[in-house]
Amino acid sequence: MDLGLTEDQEMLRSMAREFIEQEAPRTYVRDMEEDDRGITTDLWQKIAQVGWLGLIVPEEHGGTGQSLVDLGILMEEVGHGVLPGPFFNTALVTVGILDSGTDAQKAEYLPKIANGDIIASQAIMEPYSRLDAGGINLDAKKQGENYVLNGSKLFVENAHVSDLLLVPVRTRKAGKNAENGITLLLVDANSDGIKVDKLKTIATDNQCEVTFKNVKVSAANVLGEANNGWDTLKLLLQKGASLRCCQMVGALQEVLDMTVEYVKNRVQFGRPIGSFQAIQHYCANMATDVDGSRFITYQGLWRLGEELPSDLEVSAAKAWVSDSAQRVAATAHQCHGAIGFTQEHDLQLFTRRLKAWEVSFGDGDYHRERVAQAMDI
Amino acid sequence: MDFQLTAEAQSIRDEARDFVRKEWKNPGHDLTGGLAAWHGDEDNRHAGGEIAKEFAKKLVDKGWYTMHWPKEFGGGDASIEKQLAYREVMSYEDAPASLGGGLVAPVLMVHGADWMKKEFLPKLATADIEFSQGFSEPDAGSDLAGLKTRAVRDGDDYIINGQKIWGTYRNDWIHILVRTDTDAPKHRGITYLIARLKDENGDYMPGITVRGINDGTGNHRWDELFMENWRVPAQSIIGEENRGWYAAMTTLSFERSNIGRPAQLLRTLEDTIDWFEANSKKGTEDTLARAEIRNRLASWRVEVEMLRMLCYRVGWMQSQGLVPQRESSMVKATGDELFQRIYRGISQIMGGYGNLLPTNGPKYKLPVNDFLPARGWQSIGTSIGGGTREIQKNIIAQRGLGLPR
Ligand SMILES: Cc1cc2nc3c(=O)[nH]c(=O)nc-3n(C[C@H](O)[C@H](O)[C@H](O)COP(=O)(O)OP(=O)(O)OC[C@H]3O[C@@H](n4cnc5c(N)ncnc54)[C@H](O)[C@@H]3O)c2cc1C
Ligand SMILES: Cc1cc2nc3c(=O)[nH]c(=O)nc-3n(C[C@H](O)[C@H](O)[C@H](O)COP(=O)(O)OP(=O)(O)OC[C@H]3O[C@@H](n4cnc5c(N)ncnc54)[C@H](O)[C@@H]3O)c2cc1C
Repeated sequence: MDLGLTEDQEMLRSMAREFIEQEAPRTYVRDMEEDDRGITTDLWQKIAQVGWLGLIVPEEHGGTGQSLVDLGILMEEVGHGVLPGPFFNTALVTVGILDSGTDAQKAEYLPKIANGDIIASQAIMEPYSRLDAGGINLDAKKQGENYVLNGSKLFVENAHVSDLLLVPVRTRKAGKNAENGITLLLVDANSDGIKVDKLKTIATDNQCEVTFKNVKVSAANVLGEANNGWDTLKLLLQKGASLRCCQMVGALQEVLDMTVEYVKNRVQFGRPIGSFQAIQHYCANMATDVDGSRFITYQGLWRLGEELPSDLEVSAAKAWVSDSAQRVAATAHQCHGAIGFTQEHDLQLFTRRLKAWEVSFGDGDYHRERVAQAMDI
Repeated sequence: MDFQLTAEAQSIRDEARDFVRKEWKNPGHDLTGGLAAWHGDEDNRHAGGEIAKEFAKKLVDKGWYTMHWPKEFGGGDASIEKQLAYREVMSYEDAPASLGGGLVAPVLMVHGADWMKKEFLPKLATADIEFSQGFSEPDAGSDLAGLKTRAVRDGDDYIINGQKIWGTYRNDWIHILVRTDTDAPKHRGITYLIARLKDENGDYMPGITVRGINDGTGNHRWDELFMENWRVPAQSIIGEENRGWYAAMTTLSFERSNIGRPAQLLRTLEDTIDWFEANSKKGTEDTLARAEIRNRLASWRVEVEMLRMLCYRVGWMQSQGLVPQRESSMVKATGDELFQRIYRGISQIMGGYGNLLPTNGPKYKLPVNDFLPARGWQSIGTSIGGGTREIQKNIIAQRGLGLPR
């Protein structure tokens, strides 16, 4: 058992923190909330240069071939700094290509991702907003060597700046078992027939609706096995949930630290409010939630990385983190009084994103049902 | 990062599991952990203690009972990780004993006089002696250092007057905190003694009176101890006079992760699911198919997993030579609360069955060896005993997060 970080991982973490503090401070985060793209090309290039985009990409394809846990550690810092932009989704598509891509697909996409030439996103959910196999209904008909796509995807992060979309589609009618007939496609986001509409959201996290009208995609772009894509997608959803947890843990740690700092210094009734036991116990609750979130998250991610059975552990993590994130954020607001509720204060930057991430890759209820299944109830 | 146990730890886990399954069948005594609840008459209570001791003897023979003790005292010097794996499986299997020596052994190893080490450690190692604990008093609960039981030196003896509460004072020996200096700051006027409560014939020493206290279900749970001019030889001091508080706080690097709690709760959930499955076959509604029930069971499973991770964190810190503090308080506070919530929740879902005591005879099979509803009641005490929830949160906030007093 070793629940700590290696020296290299500590280094990765501290360099990431330093990078975000310098290149994407809170002022930048605020600017990007007003920006249509949500990230400057300059920052994206710098992210590529420091090696984040190639972190898990093998050396032969221009990366440094590090582990899924390493990516999680980086994602934690991305959450800690509420880094704007499409890093999360580009990294997740990278994971998908690494896990299930052909040699040709890896050679085609990974170097471009690693050097920052293409931005990628996963386009999974549809207007019914379901994460199970029955929710994948985007119609794709085989015509010669192509699939022709018609339908729409909803809540696609950063689709408006993406060059590549990972799109699960339905290539056969859902019979009794909706898991049959799903195919994952790597789709050029600039293909004819694709329309992207950005939605306004509480978290300003650039969720888009993507509509497909007679979009042609070559059969060479099938990721994994045609018609049998559900297992590939399931694994991708799990890794997405787990990495999202890492991002949330980073944000939660910062929310806790920010609050502890505030209550030590804020004076009412002639003493720091942090000396009032009501506030102390709130902070103790928050700290327990945050620590619990951290270790349950890394257990799931580590198991995924080791290819051990992880259905229960990953869903337990997302269920716990999703719920505890809301408790922690609400308690942080309570401790801050009115000032934490303002735009000027940084707390809201975190609360709004934690709210969005609560449901991303499944909320607590969704994952508890998966836990129930893993328990054979 | 590695969430798996070492091969050594995995093998003791497997070996211990096989051993308990072969050697232990609960005969109807709730003997687990610090929460031993009894729902029967006093004779049976005694019989329960004997059964637990018999099992402990088997662990002694296996060399497991003192695996955590240092070699110089005949122990096994087991790694923290091995202790943790062993404790986890013993709790999961509902074994009535696992590691021996309790709180007393480490204190004696560090602070005990030679005669105490010689007299007591071998007996502790073979499960042949148990100590009563004289810490809490009616007016010294959370504020234990405010204790008032007074010991005054008289020649080679102390003469002791006062009252202790919330222990069971039925053993021959007691380790007890008394006040020897009323002028010093409260932590510095306390002396720690090891003394005979009963003589060789099993009669209480002169000046000692003991009265039982029942819990709310009429179950004899604790005692009160009255001391009136009780003479204790001064050679009974553990460590130094007036330094007793610090001696009592001694802990060796024994595993302190509290891993037994999540293990026991996991077992409880599994037993409960089995119980519902058996019951629905009897034609009652299929409770486990109801979405809200699935959600609750899964939610408890999630929380048990989270608690398990916090426990592993404590064990891991100890294995790194670090001293967990707020981390231990988190485990205590979270574990107690979860225990209460899960047991109460399950007994609610069980409907009328959830209010049955385990003493209705074999017709009424209930989860966890029939103890489920009864232990739910007992769980009220867990967030009070051993340092209340509020005290744990104070520790997390003040010592852990550095908030001002
Ligand atoms: C939506 C909204 C509307 C408002 N409308 C008005 C209005 O119309 N008019 C107006 O004058 N003001 C208004 N206010 C201000 C409001 O009255 C104050 O925000 C409130 O009294 C708390 O003061 P504070 O924000 O300075 O927080 P603080 O007083 O700094 O409190 C911060 C935290 O410390 C805790 N705390 C402070 N003292 C103690 C203590 N003794 N024991 C335990 N905990 C303590 C608080 O409970 C809180 O959790 C409004 C605020 C909000 C959020
Ligand atoms: C099941 C059980 C087993 C026990 N086993 C033993 C045993 O083996 N040996 C032994 O010596 N004792 C034992 N005890 C006694 C136990 O240690 C005390 O009950 C405990 O320390 C609390 O003391 P008290 O009951 O006097 O409550 P009090 O200390 O009076 O506390 C009452 C309430 O006030 C709160 N409170 C007190 N101080 C503070 C503070 N500073 N900040 C915030 N809140 C505070 C407490 O948290 C609690 O909620 C046991 C108790 C129980 C319930």
